[in-house]
Amino acid sequence: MEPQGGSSATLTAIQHHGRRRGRKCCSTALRRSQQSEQVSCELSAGVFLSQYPRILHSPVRHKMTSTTSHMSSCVLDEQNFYRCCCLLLQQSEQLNDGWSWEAVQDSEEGYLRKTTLRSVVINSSTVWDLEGSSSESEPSDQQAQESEQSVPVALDEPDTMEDDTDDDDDEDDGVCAVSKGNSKVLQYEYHIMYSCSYSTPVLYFRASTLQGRSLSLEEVWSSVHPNFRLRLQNSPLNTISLQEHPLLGQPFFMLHPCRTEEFMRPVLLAAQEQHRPVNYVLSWLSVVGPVVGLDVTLRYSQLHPAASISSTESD
Amino acid sequence: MADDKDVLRDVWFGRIPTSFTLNQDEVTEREAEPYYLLLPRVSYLTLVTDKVKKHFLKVMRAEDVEEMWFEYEGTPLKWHYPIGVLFDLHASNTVLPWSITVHFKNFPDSDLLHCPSSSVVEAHFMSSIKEADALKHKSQVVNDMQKKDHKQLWMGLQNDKFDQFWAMNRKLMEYPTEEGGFRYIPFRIYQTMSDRPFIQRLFRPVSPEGNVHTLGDLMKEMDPAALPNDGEPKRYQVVIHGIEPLLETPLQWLSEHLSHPDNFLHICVIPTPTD
Repeated sequence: MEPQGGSSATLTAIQHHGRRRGRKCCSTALRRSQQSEQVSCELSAGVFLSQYPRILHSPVRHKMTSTTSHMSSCVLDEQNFYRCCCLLLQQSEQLNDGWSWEAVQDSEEGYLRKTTLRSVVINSSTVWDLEGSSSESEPSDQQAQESEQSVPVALDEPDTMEDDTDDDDDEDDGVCAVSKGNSKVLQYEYHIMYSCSYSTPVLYFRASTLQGRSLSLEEVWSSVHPNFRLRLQNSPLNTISLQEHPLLGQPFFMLHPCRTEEFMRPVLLAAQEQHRPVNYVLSWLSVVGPVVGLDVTLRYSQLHPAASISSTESD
Repeated sequence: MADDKDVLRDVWFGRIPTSFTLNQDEVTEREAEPYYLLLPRVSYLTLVTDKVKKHFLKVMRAEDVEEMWFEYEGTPLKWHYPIGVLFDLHASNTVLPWSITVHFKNFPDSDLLHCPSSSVVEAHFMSSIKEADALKHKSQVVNDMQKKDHKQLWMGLQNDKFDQFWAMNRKLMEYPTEEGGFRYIPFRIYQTMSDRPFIQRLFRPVSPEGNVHTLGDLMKEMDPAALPNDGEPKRYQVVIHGIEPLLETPLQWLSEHLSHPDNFLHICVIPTPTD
C-alpha cells in the first residue's frame, strides 16, 4: 500500500492499541478512519511520527525542510490562519458546535473560543509521575505523593463495570458508573491562537469545577486518555504545561506547538497530491483536540472542506 | 571585539539589591526580619530565592506554609519573567533596595503560574530558547544540539556560570554571513499600561532592500505610541536591562548582545519619571 494515506499502517496501529487497551475509543477511531479520510490522516500522521523519528535528525531533514518550506501550503501564515478560522467558524455555526471569535480591540487579531462541559469520572487509580523525563526525579516523586489519591479520568463513553453506590453527586448527566468514586462535571474553555514563532495554531485551555475551582496540572494530566499520555510523556516539549496566555495574561494550559509542523506535513502533502483542499486549523484541531477532551465532530468533514486560499463557499 | 564581550559580561552579571519582607498577614511564631539579597537580572525569582524561603520558614510553622509567591505594591510578580524585566517594569524609578513582599498563602492562581520545582523553571527556560531559535534559525541550531548541550545552557544559568553558558549559547548567536542577521528577531515588548501582557510579532533585522533595522524601527512598527512625536517631550522610556539604548542601535546587535539567556530581547516601555 502507498504510504501516503497510511491506511494499512493506521489500522495496524489501531488494532495494536485495541488489543492492548480494549477501550471503546479505539473502536471509535476505527469507525472514524472508515468514514472519513480526513480523520484517518490524523492517525496516520501520528503513526508517521513514531515510525520515522530518525528522519527528524538526519542531514536529509534539512533538505526536506528547505523544500517543504517553499511549499507555502505546508506552513501556515497568519493571514491563512485567520481565513481558516473564519471558515471553521462558519461551519461551526451550521453545526451548532459552539465556536466563537474573540477579537483583540479593533484589530483582526484574536482567537477562537469554545466552552464545554465534560463529565469526568474520578476513580482511585495511582497517580503517575508527570515529569517522567525530567532529570530531577526527587521533586516529581514528591509531587506524585502529594497529589490527591483519587484522580479524574475522563472517558468519552465510560465503560460500565460495577454499579457505583458511592456516587451521591447529582452533577453529572448520564455518565455510567465506574468502579469507585465520584463523577464531576467540569467546565473547559478552549482557545485557538496563532503562534508566529512556529507558524502554527496553538491550543490553550483551562478547566474548572462548576464551583469555580481551577484544575491543577496534575488533574488535567490525569484526564488525558492513557493512549495519548504515553506519547506526550516521552517528549516533554510536546506536552501540556501551564503558560501565560499571550493575550489575556492569565494562566492557561497549553499544548506545545513545536511539533505541529511535523505531524501536519504528511497530512498536507497527502491532501496536495490528491488535490483535496484542507483547512489547516480544522485538521490540526482534529489531531490535538481529542488529546485534551475537545471533540471535533465528524460532521465537519461532511460539509464542504473549502480550502483556506480559495473562495469560501457558504451554504 | 573586546567591547562587545564586555557587554555580554555586564548583562550577565547585572544585579538588583532586593529586600524581602514577609507579608504581615502571615502567621509567625516570632517576628520575621527582612532578608536582603542581590538578585541576578537574568535569572528567575523561584530559582534564586531558596535562601529567602529558608529564612522565613525559621519563624513559621509547617502547616502555615504553602507555595511561596512574591508581590510588589499589590502586584503579584510573575516568576516566569526574568527578574530584571520585573524590576524595570514595576520598580525601576524607585529607591533601592527593591522591596518585595513574600507570601506563603492564598496563591493567586488566576494571576500566577505554579512553580513547584526548579524543573518547571528549566522547562520554561528551554522552551523560550527553543522558541527564540525557531524565530532565528527555524529551529535548526537548537535541534542540532544534543541533550547535554541543552543541559549545559540550563546549568550555566542555574549555577551562574557565564563561560559554561556562552560556550554553548554562541552557537545560537551565529548566522550565515550572506543573510546579514537572524531570520526574525526574538523580542517581547512589555508595558504596564496595556491589557495585553506583551507584544510579540515577526520582525526582520534587515529589510528586503538591505537596510539595517534599528530599535527605533522596531518600536515604530510594534508600539508607535511609545515613541515621542516630533517636538513633544518624551513620555516613555524604552528600557532594556535597566538602560535606554539609543533608538539608532541596530536591532541585530541588540539581539546578539542584550538578549537575556533565554535568547529573547525583553523590552520594557515605562512612563518617564516626572520628578
